[in-house]
Amino acid sequence: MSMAEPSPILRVDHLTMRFGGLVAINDLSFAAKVGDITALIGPNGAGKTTVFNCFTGFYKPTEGMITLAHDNGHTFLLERLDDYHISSQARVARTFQNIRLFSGMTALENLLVAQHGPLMRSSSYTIGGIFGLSSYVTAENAAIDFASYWLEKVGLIDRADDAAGDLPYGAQRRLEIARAMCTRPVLLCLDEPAAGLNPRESQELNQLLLNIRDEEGLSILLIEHDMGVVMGISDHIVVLDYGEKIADGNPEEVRNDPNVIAAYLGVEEEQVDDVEKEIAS
Amino acid sequence: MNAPLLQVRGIETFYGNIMALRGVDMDVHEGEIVTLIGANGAGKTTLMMTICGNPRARTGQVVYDGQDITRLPTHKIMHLSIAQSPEGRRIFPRMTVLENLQMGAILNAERETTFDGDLARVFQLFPILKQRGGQRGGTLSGGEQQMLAIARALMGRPKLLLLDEPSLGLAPLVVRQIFEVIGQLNRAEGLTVFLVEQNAYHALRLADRGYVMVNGQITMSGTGDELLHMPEVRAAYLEGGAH
Repeated sequence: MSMAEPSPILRVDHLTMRFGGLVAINDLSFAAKVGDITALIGPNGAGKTTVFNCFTGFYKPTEGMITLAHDNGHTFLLERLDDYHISSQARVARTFQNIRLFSGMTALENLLVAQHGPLMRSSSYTIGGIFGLSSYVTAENAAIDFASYWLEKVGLIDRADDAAGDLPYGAQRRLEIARAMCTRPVLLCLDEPAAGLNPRESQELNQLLLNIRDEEGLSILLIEHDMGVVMGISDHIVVLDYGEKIADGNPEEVRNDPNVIAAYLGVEEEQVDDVEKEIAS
Repeated sequence: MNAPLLQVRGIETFYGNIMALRGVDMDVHEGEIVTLIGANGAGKTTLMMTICGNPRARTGQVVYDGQDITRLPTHKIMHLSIAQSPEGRRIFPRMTVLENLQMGAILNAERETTFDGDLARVFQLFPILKQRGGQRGGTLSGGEQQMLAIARALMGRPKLLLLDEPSLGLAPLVVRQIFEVIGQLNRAEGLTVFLVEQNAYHALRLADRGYVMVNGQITMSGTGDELLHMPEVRAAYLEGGAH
């Protein structure tokens, strides 16, 4: 293999999503590289979650192409796949802005549901499971081990048997990440994972995501408003406003982009103070 | 000094057998902004919900404006000019934005005369809601729903505004706007605010006083400034964040 730029894991070409007369995404193109944390930021209502919904099959885009490449060279056109195939074949997993756990199930059970596909296969679609075939018992134990591994990683092993709905907000968010990881994805899409976390907890989240990128070798797409998270861990940032891309670059470039400051970041109060001092002197 | 507008005494709240609040005392005086900070799972939202009677406190007392509201049903509490913008937005997804705001105004006894002005005011605060007026609440983006939840609470012209994580899911620019707006309403109209926030830096800068909650108990209290400079608070809730 040549030393050229690594090929993107995800390529978005001219993606457009219309709801009746409303254009939620307008001709969006960008690429996310293998092993990168790519952040999607922008004002509320800019279309970020809609982009995720197109990637994961919740919406069928009006126009455009979304190409996902596995490292064996196999590619998938996500806009043509059903949502469950996007999860099982293309292996894209996601979390939700408005948490969607199975709230009556325990934390552990949530993670076992995520491994439903492999478990079904090893139980020969239930029958083997009923007779307690040893291959199924082995698979079930492996699933529990894998779930425990992720509960440990997100710091919820002590709450394994508590109903997911009883966990505090921040813990539910971490459990959603663990559930997504239990589907063994190649691309993880996180919709506002730091919402409702305090700065200390956001830092722990940063560590978790860096760990997922570096040790699990995953590519991550991230929607987030917490700039401590976005600027701290992203390799690449794409900025949306009114469904269109207004900036695309590394954190440093995006942070200083006048369009992004005007539409999204605003001027920090500290900076305002500085400006006022300058004016006064 | 007058009696506090809201007085919480020895509140204990349970979820089944789990004790979520372990004897909480707190005061909110008229015209104050009081914030409650703490880690996830500390019991902040539980305290806010207990004030609203859902869940109900097992022991202890909540007194609002001289009246014991501990055993009052939630809908009656809401008619005492207390409005809440709850965690997780909880807007009416099948109603339009405008209808959601009308629902908020039901809690305002003088809505006949003040509705138009109040509506203009929330549209000025959140211009995007005006654009989305005829759209169903459920079709708004997450951040827009958050704005709608705050706007709906304001439409009730409350004396006491309860805000559970107003900054959740909002763009940095909008977060600053919201904190500014809360400060303005407080200064200009004497609105009393009880604010639960993860964004401790913004919250403590805005608040007159703050409480810190750990495992269902209040462990520290002081003025916003005092808490902002306490090493324990800095280490646990402030450090490492982008402000």
